[in-house]
Amino acid sequence: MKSDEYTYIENLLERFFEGETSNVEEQELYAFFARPDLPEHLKPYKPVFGYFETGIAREVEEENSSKQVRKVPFYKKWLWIGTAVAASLLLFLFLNKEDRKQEDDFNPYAGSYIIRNGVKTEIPENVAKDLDKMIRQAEKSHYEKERMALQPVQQHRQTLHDIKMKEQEAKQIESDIEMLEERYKDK
Amino acid sequence: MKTRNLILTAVLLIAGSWAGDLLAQTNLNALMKKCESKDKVNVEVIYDKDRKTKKPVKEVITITFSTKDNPKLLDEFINAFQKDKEAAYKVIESKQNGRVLPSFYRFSSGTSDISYSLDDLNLKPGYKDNEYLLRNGNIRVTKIERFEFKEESEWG
Amino acid sequence: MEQEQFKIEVVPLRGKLSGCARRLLDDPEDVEDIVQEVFLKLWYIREELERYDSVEALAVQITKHLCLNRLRSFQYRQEKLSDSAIITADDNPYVSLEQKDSVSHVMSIMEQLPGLQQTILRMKHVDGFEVKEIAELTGSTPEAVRVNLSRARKRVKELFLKM
Repeated sequence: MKSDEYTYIENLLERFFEGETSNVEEQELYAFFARPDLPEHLKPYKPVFGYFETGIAREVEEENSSKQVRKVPFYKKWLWIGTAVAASLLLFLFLNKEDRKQEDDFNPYAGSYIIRNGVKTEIPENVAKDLDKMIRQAEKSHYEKERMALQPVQQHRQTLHDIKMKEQEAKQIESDIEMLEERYKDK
Repeated sequence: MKTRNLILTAVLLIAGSWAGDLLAQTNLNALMKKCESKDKVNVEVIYDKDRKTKKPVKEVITITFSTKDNPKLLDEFINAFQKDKEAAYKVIESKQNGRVLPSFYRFSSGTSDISYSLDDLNLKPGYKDNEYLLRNGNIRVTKIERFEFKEESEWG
Repeated sequence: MEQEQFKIEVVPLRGKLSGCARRLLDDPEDVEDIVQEVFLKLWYIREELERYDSVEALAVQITKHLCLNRLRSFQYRQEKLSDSAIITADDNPYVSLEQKDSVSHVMSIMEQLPGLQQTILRMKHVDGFEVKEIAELTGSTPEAVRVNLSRARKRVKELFLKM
């Protein structure tokens, strides 16, 4: 019995070092080498398999943390913060449900959402004030663009109007002169 | 039979007269939708609903992205603006670096009034930007749709 | 960039990269090793790939770089074999590195392996990929990946038994 079991393991062992084992088979090897009672001829392999099982992952993690190259892209951070904020806000809302029943249940911003990196997050009611501000700012910027664009047109109109006024003034002066000339002609 | 045909024709006629309006801003609208599934594009969709009817009075969509992460997206928007230009009743363009770019387009679509604005956030045109959006990108496209639009008095 | 996208967009570059490596290295086995290493490197930076104007250009650059490193280490090995003292070739970083190594023993086990073997061990033991999956990501045959996995594991065994 025992020798059979070892034959199976030895077979796995050989295939392991040939790169032929599957992840599942490797788990079997790790489990075997974690046993306290190993036969003499297999004992030396214990630390090696300990390394394969967890040592490599540990080294990679140490390498990563010491490098500090993993910069979380800003938008990802925002999503995390946004989700955390949303989650804590929702919790707050839930806990304060009783109080809220007093007020009007209507949320004018229902259905509003943000998307970061293809991931949709509904905006909770409590951020309503900010949403209102955002709407106003968008409207303001659109309005100002239209207004600024109209400016040259308005100026043009104003100029035309001024010209017209001047022309009328000029006409008035001419007719005044004519009138005076008439008067002095008679003399 | 006859009544049905009459009704069908009536519907087609009405649809026909609206066709121009309904086709308004389709390219821009489709592109804004596409942005919702793009990586590294920030989208905010805000509704403002009427207390009584529970229906949306306004819909404000803001899309922000950086040309570094999305090199082709700006051109896609400019193309969309170009394609929808005919249907717009108000068109404002601006010249930047010798290039004529759409700045503000306004459409009438069904009973809605829709305006689009394209902004380069790096330029800081003199009015304040939303702080929390700025850091994510250089280009912003905003769409404001006013439903059951009546008059200019609706400007905030 | 996920696995499928990587397979569709990056793996097809294999032809170009092998061609590039072949021009610099003679041994087809070395060429295969280099190409595997390039793909695995690209896999690990797949999230940054979208920032590059041309992934192809980047991949070619990495290939050339690895080939040149390999050539330099060849020179080093030749010098060692020819029994001349380990004269520090000024521009050979590997000499001083190996000298340091034998003195300080500070390097982790992994770091003592060549880059490709390190990466394959990482793919298998940390990221949990099967040999077949690694082959798909590098455009290699499973056999070619198995060979390198085998080498890597045997080397690790040696290093442990030496300790």
